Amino acid sequence: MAEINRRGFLGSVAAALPVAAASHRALKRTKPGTSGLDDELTRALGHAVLPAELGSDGIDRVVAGFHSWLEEYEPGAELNHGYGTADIEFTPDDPTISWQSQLNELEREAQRRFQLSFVRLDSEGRRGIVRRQISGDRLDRLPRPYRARHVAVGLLAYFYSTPEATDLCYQAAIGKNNCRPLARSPREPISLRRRG
Amino acid sequence: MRRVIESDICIIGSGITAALAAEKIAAERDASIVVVEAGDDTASMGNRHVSRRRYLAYGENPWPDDHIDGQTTDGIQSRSMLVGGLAMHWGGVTPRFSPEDFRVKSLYGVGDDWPITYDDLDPYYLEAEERMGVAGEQGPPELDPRSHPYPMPRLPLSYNLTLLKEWSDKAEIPFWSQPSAKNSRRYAGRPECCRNDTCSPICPTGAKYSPDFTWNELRRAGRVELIKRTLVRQLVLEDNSDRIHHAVALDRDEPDTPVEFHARAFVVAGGYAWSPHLLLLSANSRFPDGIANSSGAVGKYMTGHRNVSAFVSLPMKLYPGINSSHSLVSKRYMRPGSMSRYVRHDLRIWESTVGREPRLKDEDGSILLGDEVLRDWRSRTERGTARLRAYYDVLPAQESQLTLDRSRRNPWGDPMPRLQFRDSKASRDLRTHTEQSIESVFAHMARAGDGEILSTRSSDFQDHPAGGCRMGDDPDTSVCDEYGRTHDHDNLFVIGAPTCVTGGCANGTLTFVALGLRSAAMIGEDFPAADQLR
Ligand SMILES: Cc1cc2nc3c(=O)[nH]c(=O)nc-3n(C[C@H](O)[C@H](O)[C@H](O)COP(=O)(O)OP(=O)(O)OC[C@H]3O[C@@H](n4cnc5c(N)ncnc54)[C@H](O)[C@@H]3O)c2cc1C
Ligand code: SF4
Repeated sequence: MAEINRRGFLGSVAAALPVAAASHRALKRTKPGTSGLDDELTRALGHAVLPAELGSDGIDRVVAGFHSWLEEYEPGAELNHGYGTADIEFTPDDPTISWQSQLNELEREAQRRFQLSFVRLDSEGRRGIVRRQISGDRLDRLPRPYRARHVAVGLLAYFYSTPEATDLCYQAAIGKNNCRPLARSPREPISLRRRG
Repeated sequence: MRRVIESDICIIGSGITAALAAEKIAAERDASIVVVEAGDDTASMGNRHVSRRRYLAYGENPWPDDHIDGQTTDGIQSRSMLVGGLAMHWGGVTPRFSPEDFRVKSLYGVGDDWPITYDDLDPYYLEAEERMGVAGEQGPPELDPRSHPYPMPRLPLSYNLTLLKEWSDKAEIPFWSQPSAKNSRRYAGRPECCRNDTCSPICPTGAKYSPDFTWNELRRAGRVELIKRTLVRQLVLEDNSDRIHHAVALDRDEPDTPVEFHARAFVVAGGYAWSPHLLLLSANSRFPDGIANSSGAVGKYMTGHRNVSAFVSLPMKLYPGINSSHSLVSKRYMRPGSMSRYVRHDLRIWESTVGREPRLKDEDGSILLGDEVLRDWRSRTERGTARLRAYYDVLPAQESQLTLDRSRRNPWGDPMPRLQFRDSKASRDLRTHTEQSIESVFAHMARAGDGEILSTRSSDFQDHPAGGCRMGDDPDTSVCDEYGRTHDHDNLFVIGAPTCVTGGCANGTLTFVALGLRSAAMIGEDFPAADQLR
């Protein structure tokens, strides 16, 4: 399937299918091995909203990680219990359908305003569109990725929850949540700046 | 049709208190032990890396089937009815209470004394630390009295905690490494902690103690029979005495065939909520208010501790994530000496990311994308944040209580518990003073480090709940004696959390386990010593 056609196809699937669970599977069947989100648009989004410091390959790697994360997402899974409460909560509906619609909306706005595909816009142009489309969201703190109301926020929330993001910010090999020797714990994490 | 299972000792519940008490009795006595657990077995060690990965990625509960639908408490209760109980989720933090916790009435004229002292419990604290494997640092002996060293050296202070300790030194408050049931070296066949920081809810390596290790070992050695998915619903008396004859239970897989557990001794180890609940459910014509409840104290004096916490911005570069679950602790205010007005609390310091998280909107409300997010984030990491928290003891009123709520029933028709915590009058009157004293300690610490308090919060939540079957010498005001033997039934014991008189001002589980081991020593006395038979 040619790129533009596939995007169009996914857009129409997103528009036609009502609720998440069944359609999630339908979408995933259309693109085995990926999340069901259009890869080209997602990558274009990633290159606009993720830090350039990651480098082009780094951004592609994060986007690939985001696809895998979404691919393995299970709606309705029991969440870790809250402390001191009997309430049981579950992961929300699969966001793929709404996120794909939002990718399509980014594309539509790019076409409407610039007569160009979103992927052909420069980063600033893409960020302008994203900014407008997420301006109604509460963005004071990053949500859990699956709670993101917009795909751009989902991608950012995904990236910024990774140990890689913390290391990039601090420019130090902290490696949070990884298994690391206990004996090294008292030492200042190795600077990634010095390493080059 | 009914099924009868016989043993010398029947333990109801398989939480951490039950696990270590069963291990002790099995090692020291020749007695057959049956353990009845309402919940299921847990994810095996082999699956824990996968469960943890999904917890980190999606927030999923790493312990599938760890609760029973419809079996809930209205009030403070974390979900977890499974083999190992709540401590399958716990953080493994294991401070002791201090000697004052057991004597608040005689020392300060508030609350009630326990019938035991810290010295009575010290050997069992040590035994609990050895059985689970606790890594700790001896604090200043006047603040942290111990008869023996910890079984393992302390968890090392991370780079962040080292800087935070320099700060607390400036405030002239002694802090040291928080004791934890996490391996600072290989211990009991389990590996050294690798500080990957998901201790609560799940340690994927086995470096943190959890009760399933004990149960697996006891089952493998054939020392206990653990019957799971079986909910005990009633304790039944002998016809002509006040001794317990049997326990009636429901096998969740065969609900139409009642199971009876017959034993010489019954040990209720269901934790602070389900233990008094079972006694109340077991009311009969001779004990119309519930088994073991001639005093009326079953379900009363529910206790715990509240906390005040603060986030402090400090002029130091911290690297969040080196070992963020570890903390510094001080007992300076648990052992305050004489004072004009009662206030006692612990004090802890953690690294924190508060105020230093990535965000998509700056103070002006502008949306940040691309490099702006990273720039904004970095600009806020030149300073570090410390989290401070003080647990202070809440002295319970008699009507701080667990009752049966007949309007809410489990799938088998049993009324479920309702929990209502109430401060005693003295505790209520002290609350403002206590919280202000703690806030002034926080302010003093912030000043000492040129820091700034970002936020302060006091919580209504009573943590590490306990009580409901409190111990005491007087059968009119307590449910059991100092060993957990109920005053009304000489073959019925309640062990651990429910027997506490007050909730202390530090995480309670080590104390619950130590009390359980002390009970186990007494329960075992009715059975021949294991070595006498060899
Ligand atoms: C997320 C989390 C973190 C925590 N971290 C810490 C910490 O760092 N330090 C600390 O000190 N404490 C901590 N705690 C608290 C700690 O887990 C509990 O205090 C402790 O596990 C209680 O153990 P227990 O033996 O009293 O009872 P429980 O763990 O409640 O076990 C009771 C068991 O009995 C079973 N049972 C009850 N009634 C019946 C019945 N009628 N029939 C059959 N079975 C029955 C239940 O299913 C349950 O499995 C934490 C708790 C949570 C949830
Ligand atoms: S830090 Fe990791 S390895 Fe250590 S006890 Fe916690 S979860 Fe286990």
